[in-house]
Amino acid sequence: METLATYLSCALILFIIGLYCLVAKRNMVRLVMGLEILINAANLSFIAFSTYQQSGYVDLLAQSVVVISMALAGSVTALALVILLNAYKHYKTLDIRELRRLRR
Amino acid sequence: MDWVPLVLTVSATVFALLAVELEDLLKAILSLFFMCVSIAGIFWILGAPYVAIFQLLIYAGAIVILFLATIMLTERGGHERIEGRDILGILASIALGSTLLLLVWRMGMPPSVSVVEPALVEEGSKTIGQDMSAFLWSQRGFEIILQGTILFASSLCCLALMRRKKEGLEK
Repeated sequence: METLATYLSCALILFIIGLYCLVAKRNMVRLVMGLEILINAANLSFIAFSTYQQSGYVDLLAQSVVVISMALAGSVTALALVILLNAYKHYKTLDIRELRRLRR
Repeated sequence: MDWVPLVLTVSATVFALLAVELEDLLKAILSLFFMCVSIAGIFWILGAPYVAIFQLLIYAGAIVILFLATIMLTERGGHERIEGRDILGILASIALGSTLLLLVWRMGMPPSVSVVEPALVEEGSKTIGQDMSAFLWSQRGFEIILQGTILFASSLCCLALMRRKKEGLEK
């Protein structure tokens, strides 16, 4: 039987995976993917809390916040990927540490 | 149907891990797609069908196509492999994750929260939230499906255009 703890655990694990991706990976595409996983974890916890807050009542405010968050995440991803493509055109690499070295 | 939420949560976690760990970027993006679909299923089960449809449209549709376009536009496409595991990064993420877990565990769950059943599981309960969700779905459902179709068609067109451009460059 599923409870709030199940969904929160899933959100927490997704958050840790996204954090690990941001900290440990070097490919810029993968870093943006890590960011997406982080945002998904936050959205999941929002919806889980909104559903389990009161019996038989789904809080619509949290749903609208999550929808806005999704639209913002889409815009952020598009912008990040454009910056990534520009960086690739200039430096011919997607390695974030290589970029740091080339900047000097 | 008690096993469906569990399967969805487990699949979301596994696909997220695969998206991070798979070497081939194309396969990683496919894993991200399946993770987004699993999370959309969780949203649907939790009584938020509008959010689930948005999740499918924006994450599983637009963002995955953006990622695919990006790896197509980079020179080596989906086969670029930049891998490196920083042991310090792994340790830092484990430490941060453990701290978060400890904080959640120390805070505990409010007693009224853990015993409450989800809204859609309760049969016959007509609530404001469910009514609003049903109303939104009945009034805006067709538009969302239409938007999805347009988005899907435009994604296919983008892919076709890029493929044609690539073929032209090869000639």
